[in-house]
Amino acid sequence: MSEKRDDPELMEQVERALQGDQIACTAIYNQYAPQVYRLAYSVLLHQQDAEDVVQEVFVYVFRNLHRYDPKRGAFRTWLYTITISRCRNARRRKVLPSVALTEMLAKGMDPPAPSSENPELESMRNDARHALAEGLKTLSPRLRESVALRYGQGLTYREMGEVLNIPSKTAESRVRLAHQALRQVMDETNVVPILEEAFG
Amino acid sequence: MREQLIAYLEGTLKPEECREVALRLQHSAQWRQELGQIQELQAELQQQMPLLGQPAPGQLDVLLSGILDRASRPRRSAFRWDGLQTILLVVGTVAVLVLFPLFLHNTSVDAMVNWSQNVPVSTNTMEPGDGTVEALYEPKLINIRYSASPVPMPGATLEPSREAVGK
Repeated sequence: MSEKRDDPELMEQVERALQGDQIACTAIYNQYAPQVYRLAYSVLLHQQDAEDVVQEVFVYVFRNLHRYDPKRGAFRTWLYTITISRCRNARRRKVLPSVALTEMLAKGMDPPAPSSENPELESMRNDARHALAEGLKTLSPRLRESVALRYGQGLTYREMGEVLNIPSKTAESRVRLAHQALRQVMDETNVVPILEEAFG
Repeated sequence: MREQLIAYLEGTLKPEECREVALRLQHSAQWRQELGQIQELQAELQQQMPLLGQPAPGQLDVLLSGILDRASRPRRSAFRWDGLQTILLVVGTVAVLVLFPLFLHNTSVDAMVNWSQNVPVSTNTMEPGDGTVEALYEPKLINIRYSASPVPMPGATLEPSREAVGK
Protein backbone atom coordinates (compact mmCIF):
# COMPACT_ATOMS: atom_id res chain seq x y z
CA MET A 1 0.00 0.00 0.00
CA SER A 2 1.38 3.35 -1.00
CA GLU A 3 -0.15 5.26 1.89
CA LYS A 4 1.05 4.86 5.45
CA ARG A 5 -1.61 4.69 8.08
CA ASP A 6 -0.33 7.71 9.94
CA ASP A 7 0.74 9.97 7.12
CA PRO A 8 1.48 13.17 9.07
CA GLU A 9 0.87 15.46 6.11
CA LEU A 10 -2.53 13.97 5.46
CA MET A 11 -3.41 14.09 9.14
CA GLU A 12 -2.48 17.75 9.25
CA GLN A 13 -4.70 18.41 6.24
CA VAL A 14 -7.52 16.51 7.87
CA GLU A 15 -7.10 18.54 11.06
CA ARG A 16 -7.19 21.78 9.09
CA ALA A 17 -10.15 20.64 7.03
CA LEU A 18 -11.96 19.84 10.26
CA GLN A 19 -11.52 23.45 11.25
CA GLY A 20 -13.14 24.54 7.99
CA ASP A 21 -9.98 25.26 6.02
CA GLN A 22 -11.07 25.02 2.38
CA ILE A 23 -7.47 24.97 1.13
CA ALA A 24 -6.93 21.77 3.10
CA CYS A 25 -10.17 20.36 1.68
CA THR A 26 -8.96 21.22 -1.80
CA ALA A 27 -5.61 19.53 -1.15
CA ILE A 28 -7.35 16.36 0.02
CA TYR A 29 -9.67 16.48 -2.97
CA ASN A 30 -6.86 16.96 -5.45
CA GLN A 31 -4.94 14.09 -3.95
CA TYR A 32 -7.76 11.56 -3.75
CA ALA A 33 -10.44 12.55 -6.27
CA PRO A 34 -8.71 10.87 -9.25
CA GLN A 35 -8.46 7.60 -7.33
CA VAL A 36 -12.07 7.79 -6.23
CA TYR A 37 -13.16 8.58 -9.77
CA ARG A 38 -11.19 5.67 -11.23
CA LEU A 39 -12.63 3.29 -8.68
CA ALA A 40 -16.17 4.54 -9.29
CA TYR A 41 -15.69 4.40 -13.04
CA SER A 42 -14.25 0.87 -12.90
CA VAL A 43 -17.28 -0.28 -10.93
CA LEU A 44 -20.02 1.67 -12.72
CA LEU A 45 -18.41 1.96 -16.17
CA HIS A 46 -20.22 5.23 -16.73
CA GLN A 47 -18.58 8.65 -16.70
CA GLN A 48 -21.50 10.74 -15.44
CA ASP A 49 -22.36 8.24 -12.73
CA ALA A 50 -18.73 8.12 -11.64
CA GLU A 51 -18.61 11.92 -11.41
CA ASP A 52 -21.81 11.91 -9.36
CA VAL A 53 -20.23 9.37 -7.03
CA VAL A 54 -17.12 11.55 -6.66
CA GLN A 55 -19.31 14.48 -5.64
CA GLU A 56 -21.34 12.43 -3.18
CA VAL A 57 -18.25 10.87 -1.68
CA PHE A 58 -16.43 14.14 -1.05
CA VAL A 59 -19.49 15.98 0.23
CA TYR A 60 -19.92 13.14 2.70
CA VAL A 61 -16.22 13.08 3.55
CA PHE A 62 -15.96 16.80 4.24
CA ARG A 63 -19.11 16.72 6.35
CA ASN A 64 -18.04 13.65 8.27
CA LEU A 65 -14.30 14.05 8.62
CA HIS A 66 -14.74 13.93 12.40
CA ARG A 67 -15.85 10.32 12.00
CA TYR A 68 -12.59 9.24 10.41
CA ASP A 69 -10.50 7.40 12.97
CA PRO A 70 -6.89 6.85 11.84
CA LYS A 71 -6.52 4.06 14.38
CA ARG A 72 -9.15 2.02 12.61
CA GLY A 73 -7.61 2.16 9.17
CA ALA A 74 -6.04 4.20 6.44
CA PHE A 75 -7.77 7.28 5.07
CA ARG A 76 -7.78 5.71 1.63
CA THR A 77 -9.55 2.60 2.94
CA TRP A 78 -12.22 4.79 4.55
CA LEU A 79 -12.58 6.73 1.32
CA TYR A 80 -12.93 3.56 -0.75
CA THR A 81 -15.49 2.13 1.65
CA ILE A 82 -17.63 5.23 1.12
CA THR A 83 -17.02 5.07 -2.63
CA ILE A 84 -18.12 1.45 -2.91
CA SER A 85 -21.20 2.23 -0.84
CA ARG A 86 -22.11 5.17 -3.09
CA CYS A 87 -21.49 3.07 -6.19
CA ARG A 88 -23.92 0.47 -4.88
CA ASN A 89 -26.48 3.19 -4.25
CA ALA A 90 -25.96 4.53 -7.76
CA ARG A 91 -26.40 1.06 -9.16
CA ARG A 92 -29.62 0.61 -7.24
CA ARG A 93 -30.93 3.94 -8.50
CA LYS A 94 -30.08 3.17 -12.06
CA VAL A 95 -29.78 -0.37 -13.24
CA LEU A 96 -26.41 -0.70 -14.89
CA PRO A 97 -26.84 -1.69 -18.52
CA SER A 98 -24.85 -4.87 -18.49
CA VAL A 99 -24.12 -7.22 -21.32
CA ALA A 100 -25.08 -10.81 -20.70
CA LEU A 101 -22.17 -13.16 -21.04
CA THR A 102 -23.93 -15.34 -23.57
CA GLU A 103 -24.97 -12.30 -25.58
CA MET A 104 -21.42 -11.06 -25.63
CA LEU A 105 -20.03 -14.43 -26.59
CA ALA A 106 -22.58 -14.75 -29.37
CA LYS A 107 -21.89 -11.26 -30.66
CA GLY A 108 -18.12 -11.34 -30.23
CA MET A 109 -15.86 -8.40 -29.70
CA ASP A 110 -14.56 -6.30 -32.51
CA PRO A 111 -11.56 -8.07 -34.02
CA PRO A 112 -8.21 -6.33 -34.01
CA ALA A 113 -7.86 -3.87 -36.83
CA PRO A 114 -5.98 -5.23 -39.85
CA SER A 115 -2.34 -4.28 -39.88
CA SER A 116 -2.76 -2.75 -43.35
CA GLU A 117 -4.87 0.01 -41.75
CA ASN A 118 -2.01 0.80 -39.41
CA PRO A 119 -4.13 2.44 -36.69
CA GLU A 120 -2.72 4.86 -34.18
CA LEU A 121 -1.35 3.27 -31.06
CA GLU A 122 -3.54 5.46 -28.89
CA SER A 123 -6.58 4.39 -30.78
CA MET A 124 -5.66 0.76 -30.20
CA ARG A 125 -5.14 1.40 -26.56
CA ASN A 126 -8.57 2.97 -26.38
CA ASP A 127 -9.98 -0.08 -28.08
CA ALA A 128 -8.20 -2.29 -25.61
CA ARG A 129 -9.56 -0.29 -22.71
CA HIS A 130 -13.00 -0.47 -24.22
CA ALA A 131 -12.61 -4.21 -24.63
CA LEU A 132 -11.57 -4.55 -21.02
CA ALA A 133 -14.53 -2.43 -19.93
CA GLU A 134 -16.80 -4.69 -21.97
CA GLY A 135 -15.24 -7.69 -20.29
CA LEU A 136 -15.82 -6.08 -16.92
CA LYS A 137 -19.47 -5.52 -17.78
CA THR A 138 -20.00 -9.24 -17.94
CA LEU A 139 -18.87 -9.60 -14.33
CA SER A 140 -21.30 -9.37 -11.48
CA PRO A 141 -21.09 -6.09 -9.52
CA ARG A 142 -19.36 -7.81 -6.61
CA LEU A 143 -16.68 -9.32 -8.83
CA ARG A 144 -16.23 -6.02 -10.65
CA GLU A 145 -15.69 -4.24 -7.34
CA SER A 146 -13.07 -6.83 -6.45
CA VAL A 147 -11.19 -6.43 -9.72
CA ALA A 148 -11.33 -2.63 -9.46
CA LEU A 149 -9.93 -2.68 -5.94
CA ARG A 150 -7.32 -5.37 -6.55
CA TYR A 151 -5.99 -4.39 -9.96
CA GLY A 152 -7.22 -0.83 -10.31
CA GLN A 153 -6.25 0.38 -6.86
CA GLY A 154 -3.66 -2.23 -5.93
CA LEU A 155 -5.23 -3.10 -2.59
CA THR A 156 -4.18 -6.17 -0.68
CA TYR A 157 -6.79 -8.78 0.16
CA ARG A 158 -6.80 -7.59 3.74
CA GLU A 159 -7.50 -4.02 2.63
CA MET A 160 -10.15 -5.26 0.24
CA GLY A 161 -11.74 -7.10 3.13
CA GLU A 162 -11.84 -3.85 5.12
CA VAL A 163 -13.34 -1.88 2.27
CA LEU A 164 -15.92 -4.49 1.31
CA ASN A 165 -16.53 -5.61 4.87
CA ILE A 166 -15.80 -9.22 4.04
CA PRO A 167 -13.12 -11.68 5.19
CA SER A 168 -9.89 -11.41 3.22
CA LYS A 169 -10.35 -15.01 2.07
CA THR A 170 -13.65 -14.03 0.49
CA ALA A 171 -11.97 -11.09 -1.21
CA GLU A 172 -9.34 -13.46 -2.57
CA SER A 173 -11.98 -15.86 -3.77
CA ARG A 174 -13.86 -13.07 -5.56
CA VAL A 175 -10.73 -11.97 -7.37
CA ARG A 176 -10.11 -15.55 -8.46
CA LEU A 177 -13.67 -15.89 -9.72
CA ALA A 178 -13.41 -12.58 -11.56
CA HIS A 179 -10.12 -13.64 -13.06
CA GLN A 180 -11.59 -16.88 -14.31
CA ALA A 181 -14.67 -15.18 -15.74
CA LEU A 182 -12.59 -12.54 -17.50
CA ARG A 183 -10.24 -15.15 -18.85
CA GLN A 184 -13.14 -17.08 -20.28
CA VAL A 185 -14.72 -14.02 -21.86
CA MET A 186 -11.47 -12.72 -23.24
CA ASP A 187 -10.49 -16.11 -24.61
CA GLU A 188 -13.79 -16.35 -26.42
CA THR A 189 -13.76 -12.81 -27.74
CA ASN A 190 -10.12 -12.37 -28.71
CA VAL A 191 -9.60 -9.55 -26.25
CA VAL A 192 -6.20 -10.74 -25.10
CA PRO A 193 -4.69 -10.43 -28.58
CA ILE A 194 -6.08 -6.87 -28.73
CA LEU A 195 -4.50 -6.07 -25.41
CA GLU A 196 -1.24 -7.70 -26.39
CA GLU A 197 -1.10 -5.79 -29.63
CA ALA A 198 -1.92 -2.50 -27.97
CA PHE A 199 0.36 -2.81 -25.00
CA GLY A 200 2.73 -5.59 -25.84
CA MET B 1 -6.19 -26.15 -12.00
CA ARG B 2 -6.87 -22.53 -12.96
CA GLU B 3 -7.99 -21.62 -9.47
CA GLN B 4 -4.89 -23.17 -7.94
CA LEU B 5 -2.64 -21.44 -10.43
CA ILE B 6 -4.19 -18.03 -9.77
CA ALA B 7 -3.71 -18.54 -6.06
CA TYR B 8 -0.16 -19.70 -6.79
CA LEU B 9 0.59 -16.50 -8.68
CA GLU B 10 -1.09 -14.40 -6.01
CA GLY B 11 1.08 -16.11 -3.40
CA THR B 12 -1.87 -17.13 -1.28
CA LEU B 13 -1.34 -20.89 -1.25
CA LYS B 14 -0.13 -22.76 1.81
CA PRO B 15 3.49 -23.92 1.56
CA GLU B 16 2.55 -27.56 0.93
CA GLU B 17 0.01 -26.54 -1.75
CA CYS B 18 2.60 -24.29 -3.31
CA ARG B 19 5.08 -27.16 -3.48
CA GLU B 20 2.42 -29.35 -5.06
CA VAL B 21 1.66 -26.77 -7.77
CA ALA B 22 5.36 -26.24 -8.42
CA LEU B 23 5.76 -29.98 -8.88
CA ARG B 24 2.86 -30.14 -11.29
CA LEU B 25 4.29 -27.23 -13.25
CA GLN B 26 7.58 -29.09 -13.57
CA HIS B 27 5.95 -32.15 -15.06
CA SER B 28 2.93 -30.88 -16.96
CA ALA B 29 3.09 -28.81 -20.14
CA GLN B 30 -0.65 -28.20 -19.85
CA TRP B 31 -0.22 -26.61 -16.43
CA ARG B 32 2.65 -24.49 -17.71
CA GLN B 33 0.57 -23.30 -20.66
CA GLU B 34 -2.33 -22.43 -18.39
CA LEU B 35 0.02 -20.60 -16.03
CA GLY B 36 1.35 -18.57 -18.95
CA GLN B 37 -2.15 -17.54 -20.00
CA ILE B 38 -3.11 -16.55 -16.49
CA GLN B 39 0.09 -14.55 -16.13
CA GLU B 40 -0.72 -12.75 -19.36
CA LEU B 41 -4.17 -11.75 -18.23
CA GLN B 42 -2.95 -10.78 -14.80
CA ALA B 43 -0.27 -8.58 -16.29
CA GLU B 44 -2.81 -6.96 -18.60
CA LEU B 45 -5.17 -6.34 -15.73
CA GLN B 46 -2.42 -4.83 -13.63
CA GLN B 47 -1.40 -2.62 -16.52
CA GLN B 48 -4.85 -1.76 -17.78
CA MET B 49 -7.03 -1.37 -14.73
CA PRO B 50 -5.20 1.65 -13.32
CA LEU B 51 -5.68 3.35 -16.72
CA LEU B 52 -9.37 2.54 -16.90
CA GLY B 53 -11.36 5.63 -16.02
CA GLN B 54 -8.38 7.92 -15.88
CA PRO B 55 -9.97 11.37 -15.56
CA ALA B 56 -9.23 13.90 -18.27
CA PRO B 57 -7.26 16.98 -17.17
CA GLY B 58 -9.60 19.41 -15.45
CA GLN B 59 -12.49 16.95 -15.50
CA LEU B 60 -12.68 16.70 -11.73
CA ASP B 61 -11.65 20.29 -11.00
CA VAL B 62 -15.03 21.58 -12.11
CA LEU B 63 -16.73 19.44 -9.47
CA LEU B 64 -14.76 20.88 -6.56
CA SER B 65 -16.59 24.17 -6.05
CA GLY B 66 -19.96 22.42 -5.98
CA ILE B 67 -18.65 19.88 -3.50
CA LEU B 68 -17.24 22.52 -1.15
CA ASP B 69 -20.45 24.51 -1.44
CA ARG B 70 -22.65 21.52 -0.61
CA ALA B 71 -20.37 20.38 2.19
CA SER B 72 -20.42 23.79 3.86
CA ARG B 73 -24.20 24.16 3.64
CA PRO B 74 -26.09 23.28 6.80
CA ARG B 75 -27.58 19.87 6.60
CA ARG B 76 -31.27 19.40 6.20
CA SER B 77 -32.68 18.45 9.56
CA ALA B 78 -32.87 14.74 9.47
CA PHE B 79 -35.65 12.97 11.34
CA ARG B 80 -34.32 11.91 14.69
CA TRP B 81 -35.85 9.74 17.33
CA ASP B 82 -36.12 11.31 20.71
CA GLY B 83 -37.35 9.90 24.00
CA LEU B 84 -40.98 10.97 23.63
CA GLN B 85 -41.30 9.45 20.16
CA THR B 86 -39.89 6.18 21.41
CA ILE B 87 -42.32 6.10 24.34
CA LEU B 88 -45.26 6.89 22.05
CA LEU B 89 -44.22 4.15 19.68
CA VAL B 90 -43.98 1.59 22.50
CA VAL B 91 -47.35 2.63 24.01
CA GLY B 92 -48.99 2.53 20.59
CA THR B 93 -47.61 -0.90 19.82
CA VAL B 94 -48.71 -2.30 23.20
CA ALA B 95 -52.16 -0.75 22.78
CA VAL B 96 -52.59 -2.36 19.38
CA LEU B 97 -51.36 -5.72 20.65
CA VAL B 98 -53.75 -5.69 23.62
CA LEU B 99 -56.83 -4.08 22.08
CA PHE B 100 -56.90 -5.88 18.77
CA PRO B 101 -57.41 -9.37 20.27
CA LEU B 102 -60.12 -7.93 22.56
CA PHE B 103 -61.86 -6.38 19.59
CA LEU B 104 -61.71 -9.68 17.72
CA HIS B 105 -63.13 -11.54 20.76
CA ASN B 106 -66.07 -9.13 21.14
CA THR B 107 -66.88 -9.31 17.47
CA SER B 108 -67.05 -13.08 17.60
CA VAL B 109 -69.32 -13.03 20.71
CA ASP B 110 -71.71 -10.60 18.95
CA ALA B 111 -71.84 -12.85 15.96
CA MET B 112 -72.69 -15.84 18.14
CA VAL B 113 -75.53 -14.01 19.89
CA ASN B 114 -77.06 -12.44 16.79
CA TRP B 115 -77.26 -15.57 14.75
CA SER B 116 -80.56 -16.47 16.40
CA GLN B 117 -82.51 -13.63 14.81
CA ASN B 118 -85.50 -14.58 12.72
CA VAL B 119 -84.11 -15.93 9.53
CA PRO B 120 -86.70 -17.47 7.26
CA VAL B 121 -85.34 -20.22 5.19
CA SER B 122 -87.47 -21.30 2.27
CA THR B 123 -87.07 -23.14 -0.90
CA ASN B 124 -88.13 -20.43 -3.29
CA THR B 125 -88.08 -22.52 -6.40
CA MET B 126 -90.57 -25.07 -5.17
CA GLU B 127 -94.27 -24.73 -4.25
CA PRO B 128 -95.76 -25.86 -0.95
CA GLY B 129 -97.24 -29.26 -1.37
CA ASP B 130 -94.54 -30.44 -3.64
CA GLY B 131 -93.02 -32.27 -0.76
CA THR B 132 -91.07 -29.28 0.30
CA VAL B 133 -90.65 -28.03 3.77
CA GLU B 134 -90.83 -24.39 4.66
CA ALA B 135 -89.05 -23.75 7.82
CA LEU B 136 -89.26 -20.68 9.93
CA TYR B 137 -87.05 -20.15 12.86
CA GLU B 138 -88.67 -18.62 15.84
CA PRO B 139 -86.92 -15.59 17.20
CA LYS B 140 -85.27 -16.61 20.32
CA LEU B 141 -82.98 -14.69 22.49
CA ILE B 142 -80.27 -16.52 24.14
CA ASN B 143 -79.40 -15.11 27.44
CA ILE B 144 -76.11 -16.24 28.64
CA ARG B 145 -75.53 -15.50 32.22
CA TYR B 146 -72.24 -16.04 33.66
CA SER B 147 -71.88 -16.56 37.35
CA ALA B 148 -68.96 -17.51 39.42
CA SER B 149 -68.91 -21.16 40.32
CA PRO B 150 -68.96 -21.86 44.01
CA VAL B 151 -65.61 -22.75 45.28
CA PRO B 152 -65.80 -26.36 46.39
CA MET B 153 -65.03 -26.77 50.02
CA PRO B 154 -62.51 -29.37 51.00
CA GLY B 155 -64.18 -32.73 51.10
CA ALA B 156 -67.21 -31.61 49.08
CA THR B 157 -68.34 -33.70 46.16
CA LEU B 158 -68.62 -32.04 42.84
CA GLU B 159 -72.24 -32.73 42.01
CA PRO B 160 -74.25 -30.77 39.49
CA SER B 161 -76.33 -28.02 41.08
CA ARG B 162 -80.08 -28.18 41.06
CA GLU B 163 -80.34 -25.30 38.66
CA ALA B 164 -78.07 -27.01 36.27
CA VAL B 165 -80.05 -30.25 36.21
CA GLY B 166 -83.37 -28.35 36.02
CA LYS B 167 -84.69 -29.26 39.44
